Formats: sequence, C-alpha cells, structure tokens
Amino acid sequence: MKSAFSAALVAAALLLTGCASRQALVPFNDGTLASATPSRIGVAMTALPKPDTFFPGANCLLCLASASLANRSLTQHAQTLSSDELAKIKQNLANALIRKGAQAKVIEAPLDPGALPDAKQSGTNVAKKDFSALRAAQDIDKLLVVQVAMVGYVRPYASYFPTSEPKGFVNALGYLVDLRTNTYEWFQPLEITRASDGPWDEAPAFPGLTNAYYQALEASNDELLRPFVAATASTVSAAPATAAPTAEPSPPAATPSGR
Amino acid sequence: MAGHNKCGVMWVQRMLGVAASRVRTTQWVSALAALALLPLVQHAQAQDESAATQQTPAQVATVPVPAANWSLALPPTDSVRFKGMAERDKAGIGGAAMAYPINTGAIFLAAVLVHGALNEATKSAQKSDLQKAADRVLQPYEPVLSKYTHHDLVAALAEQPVPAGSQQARWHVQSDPVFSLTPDETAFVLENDITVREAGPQGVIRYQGVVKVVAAATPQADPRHHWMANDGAPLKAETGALFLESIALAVDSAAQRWPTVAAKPQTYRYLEGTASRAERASLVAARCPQIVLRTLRNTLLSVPADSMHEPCGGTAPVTASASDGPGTP
Repeated sequence: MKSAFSAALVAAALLLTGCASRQALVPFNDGTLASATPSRIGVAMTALPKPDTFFPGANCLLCLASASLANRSLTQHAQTLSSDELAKIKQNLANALIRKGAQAKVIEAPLDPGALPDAKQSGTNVAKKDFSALRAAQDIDKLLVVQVAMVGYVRPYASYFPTSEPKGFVNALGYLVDLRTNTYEWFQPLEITRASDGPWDEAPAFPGLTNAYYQALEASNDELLRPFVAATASTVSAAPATAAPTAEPSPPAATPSGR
Repeated sequence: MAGHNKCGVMWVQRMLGVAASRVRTTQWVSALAALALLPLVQHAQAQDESAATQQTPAQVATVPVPAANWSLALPPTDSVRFKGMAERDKAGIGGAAMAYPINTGAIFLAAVLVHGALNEATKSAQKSDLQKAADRVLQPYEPVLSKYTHHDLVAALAEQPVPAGSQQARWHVQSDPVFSLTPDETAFVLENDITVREAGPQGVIRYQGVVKVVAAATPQADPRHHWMANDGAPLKAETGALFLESIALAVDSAAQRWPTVAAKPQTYRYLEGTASRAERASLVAARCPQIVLRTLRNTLLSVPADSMHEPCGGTAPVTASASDGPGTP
C-alpha cells in the first residue's frame, strides 16, 4: 500500500514537473554585445503562419465544433488577412542591433528550427536544438530568431461559451543564441491581444477586429524590439523626431508603417 | 437514477449559487428592476426621441453673428458627456473546461444554460467594472464637468453655428459628442456621432458616423492643474476646439471636399496622450496640426501630427488611389 502511494506520488511529481523543462525567460543584457570586436549577429525568422482563429478553452470535440461553427465567418475573414507586415520585424531588429554597435545581417531564408539536430549537451539556458552549424554557414557568432507561432484572432472559451470577445492575436517567441556555446542570451515568449475599438461583430469585413489585428502586429513588433532599443532611447529622443523608423516602440505620431 | 438526477439538480443549484455570489446582489436587483421598468423606459425614450425631433430647432444654438454655414442640434441631455478610457485588451474572464452533469438530457441542458447565463453575467459585470475603473480619472474634474453644459460647449466655439432654417444654413448637423480623458490626463479625445444633412425639410444625409478627434498631449508638467485652472477654461477651450474640428471634418466630408475612393489602408502610428496607438486607415488630408485618416469603418479620425517628418503645411487632399489592400472593408 505504502509503495503504491509512493509510486503515485512519484508519478504525480513527474507529471507536474513536466513543465519544469520549459525554457525560462532570459532577459537581454546590453553587456552581451560588448566586446573588443563587434558581434556578428544573424537575424532570422521562421516561416510566418497564415492568420487563423483560435479558441482556447473549447476543449471537448463538441465544444470545438460549436465554437468553430459559431465563428465561421470570422475564421473565413481571418484567412483573408496577411501577416506579411510581421516580416519587417527582422529588418527592424537588425537596425536596432546595428545602432547598438553590432554587425547585424538579415538572413532572408526562413529558418526551420525543427530541422536542426538536437543539442548534444543540456544545462541552464542551453538550446534544445543545435544551432552551432549556422556559425560557419552564415559567418555569424550569434543568431537572433523570431518564431511566430500563431497569428489571427483569439477567442477564449469555457467549454461551449466564449469568455471574451474575439481579439487580434499574435503568439511569438524571440531568442538570441550564442552559436559558440549554443546557449540563449535572450529568450522572450510573447502573447499580444488587442480588442476591437467598439463593436466587433461586423461581418463580413469585421473592420474593428481587422484594425485590432493590425494593432496586434504593431504591438508585437514593439515588444520584440523593446529590449534592443531601450538603452538607446535617450539618444533617439534627443534627435529630431522622424517618421521613417516606425519600428521603435515609442514611434512618432501619425506615421504610416505599412509602406 | 434518482440519485443521479438529484446530483445534477444540486450541480445546477450550486452553479446558481456561484452565479449569485459572483454577480453582485445589486446587479441582480438592477436587472430585475430594469426588466420590470422596461416598458416605462421605452415609453420615456420614445417621448425623448419625439421631443428631440420636435425640439431640434429650439436646441440649435442661436448666435447673432454667423460665420458658418451649418446649424447644430445636440442631444437633449444638458451636460457634456465625459468618460475614462477602459483598457479592454486584457478583458475576459478566462477560459476553463467545465464538467457538466450528463445523467439526463434535461439536467445537462439546464447545466449548460446556467453556465451560459453565469458566463454572460460575469462578462457584463467585468465590462462595467472596467469602465467604472477608467472613469475614476475624471473624479478630480467633477467640479468643472458637473457644470459643463452643451450650451457652454457651443457658446465657446470659435466658429458659431447658424440658426436652423436660416438662409446661410447649407447643412444641418446632428451631434452626440462624448469626450474621453487619457489615463495620463494629458489629452482629450472626442468621439462625436455626427449626421450631416442638407438643410431643408427633406435634407439628404451626406455624412453619418463617428468622427474621432485626438488632441495633442499638453506639454504641461501638471496636466490636471493646467486643465482645471481658471474654472476649467483650458479644458473647455480644448474640448471646444475638438468639437469644432469634428464638425468641420464631417461637413467637409459631406461637401465631398475629399476623395471618396480611399487610398490603400496602411497602419498609422500616433500618440494618444503619451501612449502609442496604431490605426489601420487611409490618409485623407493634412489639416495641420492634425492628420485626417479614414478608418476601416469608413469614419474619420483626426490625430496629432506634431512629430510628422513630412511637411504638414497644406490642407490639400492627398492623391487617392484604388483600395486593394487587405483589411479593406
């Protein structure tokens, strides 16, 4: 009886600590880029997903079917949107790194971390995938990756019922890997939601939600850039206000960023 | 089986108990009272609307030196409406799987219905709480706002409306303004629900929709002290300027002074107070110090252009092109 109880305890502990293997946040440290010679950093993105709708909390099959049916027109609308504006994040990050004194270059081809071999070693902040081969292939010391997992609209459910109105949504991950040690020097998951300003249920064009979607894209750009521009913000604000670099988290007023 | 039914009934009772505890008693009472009073309220609203229609000429501000070509009707409520800016991006009551009793179809259905009702009541309560929390920013301004009437708003306008029915009136503007104050108290935002008709008894509607005007943030270190100085004179001047700007935009749109075919929508960034905002819109015109955008809802949005890199000196419309981008309504 006692051994059965112990086994159950161990099983429960294993189950509950399953999350412990998830990578913890690694804040970006400006000192990371400080060295006698400028760091050569490649900036890459994974392939952008197509916009869609997501219904977390609609867990049972019937719940999910019900949620999908109830939001069918929204899903159809989401699939007409473009996520291409997220691609500018790569260039914006490279620009921010250059302003910090690094030698940054954009890697145009989409990165597929899943295709990389597993890392041979493990430890604190060691990446699970082995990125080191990219050091020679791309002639870089570090790799900054933006991995966008989900983009579109999110509407949380509790079984059959929505617990919130739909919102513009971006789920992404940003990380910087030192290719010499295969360790993370920055690791930042990101989840952005933006509500429609006013009513949301305006099928078929959903203008309020479409606006919220693009607001979420802009906000994710800002959040991913924030660690790399914070220290230089005073320098930027001392300069005359400009409209062109729309990538800054505190952008100038009335600046088009879709150009 | 009877035991199962009892268990299901207890589940429904428990959920109702949870519902009652989550939603305040006052809200239940208010809801019941509202239901009971609905016919009376509807009757009163109908009377109000009828009165508003009939009294429109009487409500139009009459100022002897008309400089405009529009008459104005404001809502019958006398005080100018203000609200805080509720943060709705994080609104939601969380998603969690719900285990329903499935011993009989009726119990299951009752459980689902109770869950649905509880869900809606909680969402509604949260929405109300968010707005109440946002409205707290206005409490220090109450001494001025409680005495700020539509008459004051119109009387202070730099350009005065003409009396309805006068020869100069080309447009009749019906306006329902609601002002907001940014959480940092540095800027006011106006959302003005405007209808512009051609003057005359059978005037055709030429513009209908909300015109939103965002003021530039005040550079004052203590914005509250600034707005409240001299019995709220700066506050009244600022809100009056926003009000006039919104009407000018609607009248310009009614007069088709801007291209009707919007340019391809882009994401524009601007400041609301000190907070960064984004809007998917088409550029309509530069009316310095504001930039006018047409939103995806085909309404007008005027935002501060104080840090625009491009020259902001002309009022000529921006050349428009056919809209073919994603996000086009």
